[in-house]
Amino acid sequence: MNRTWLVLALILVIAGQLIVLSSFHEVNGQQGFSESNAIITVAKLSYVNARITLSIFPMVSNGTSNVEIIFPNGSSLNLTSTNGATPSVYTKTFSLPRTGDDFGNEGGSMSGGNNSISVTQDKPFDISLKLDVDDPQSYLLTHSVQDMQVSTYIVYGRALISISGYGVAL
Amino acid sequence: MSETAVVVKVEELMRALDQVKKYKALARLMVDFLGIVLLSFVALFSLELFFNFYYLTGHFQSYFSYPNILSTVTPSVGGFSSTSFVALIFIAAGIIAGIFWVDRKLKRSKLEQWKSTLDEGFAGAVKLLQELNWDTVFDDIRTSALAYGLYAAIRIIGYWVIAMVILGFPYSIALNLIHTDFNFYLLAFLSLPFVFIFSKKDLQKKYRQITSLDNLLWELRWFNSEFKSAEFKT
Repeated sequence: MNRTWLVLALILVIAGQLIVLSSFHEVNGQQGFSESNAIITVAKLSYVNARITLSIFPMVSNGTSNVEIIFPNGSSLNLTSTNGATPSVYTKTFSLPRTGDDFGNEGGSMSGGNNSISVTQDKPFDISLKLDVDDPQSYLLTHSVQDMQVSTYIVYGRALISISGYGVAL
Repeated sequence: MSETAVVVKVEELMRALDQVKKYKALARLMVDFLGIVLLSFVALFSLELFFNFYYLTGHFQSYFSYPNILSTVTPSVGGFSSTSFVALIFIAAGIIAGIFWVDRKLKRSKLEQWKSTLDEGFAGAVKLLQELNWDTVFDDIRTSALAYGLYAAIRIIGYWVIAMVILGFPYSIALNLIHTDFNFYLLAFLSLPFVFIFSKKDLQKKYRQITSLDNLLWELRWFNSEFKSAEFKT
């Protein structure tokens, strides 16, 4: 094979690699202390393959901690400790797989005070952490979003919450 | 001009043309050089892609175990403006491998193939002169000067990258002592004087070679016209 063609092929390979690398998106880790309830919203366009890491540190008051997590599929998990026992820290990584091509979808947004969330073709993956929500269920009813896939995690109780995400739009 | 003087002059000319032949080979080897440097980029980006997918598929326990030092273009480390040491090492390795490859190939160039003909004396010298294609010779000299200049520039850039890699370690230690952030542009700027110190002799040599190629071109033009007029007279 002619060497010049080989060099051109290498240039094409590098261009391809750069395109794939530029389709990786990281959502900076968000962290906060919630006195009552918290809502974590993960939004992405359907062609994003994402991975989020959620950590919840229950806070102890008067020797007890009472934290409950509601997952997007409706299941729940209690992180309860009594009699001054150290509560267990919940850390888990969730995969949000790619579900389709979604041609032409330019994203959407949801405003929520300081915790707005929006996904666009440039940033097709985002996370929001809303702390101290009095009534999570009614908050969710009034803050619905369209044109993006949304997974919502509700944390009831006092806890330190941390979340970060990483995804690729291919 | 005596016959011995003609043989001596032709030998000088053939040696100069050998140099041109070497530089012409250099022009061809620039493609190899570029290919090797590009391969180092392919290797670097492949490694980064591997780690990105490896992380995404859950093989690193947490975000913090992701080896950020490898990142060069992933948005997580600030895009293209952030170049890690590993990236610099890959690129420097590519440039060094390219320089070694070019030097090795250049040393293998077949030179002094005219020697046996010139050993025949005046007859051999005339034969060599008659066999020369002057138009090609002039073209080759022009190409050689260009390739040599380009190769010199690439070598300087290579020295610069290597200087940055070497200086990077003491620079990082110094930054830790004064508790400030790493600045890539400052490192590049600090490396510049070292590049000039280390490559001063090389730069002078390259400058002399390019100017000598220029002079050779003019001398050969004169020699060519003289030779043709002598040929015409005979």
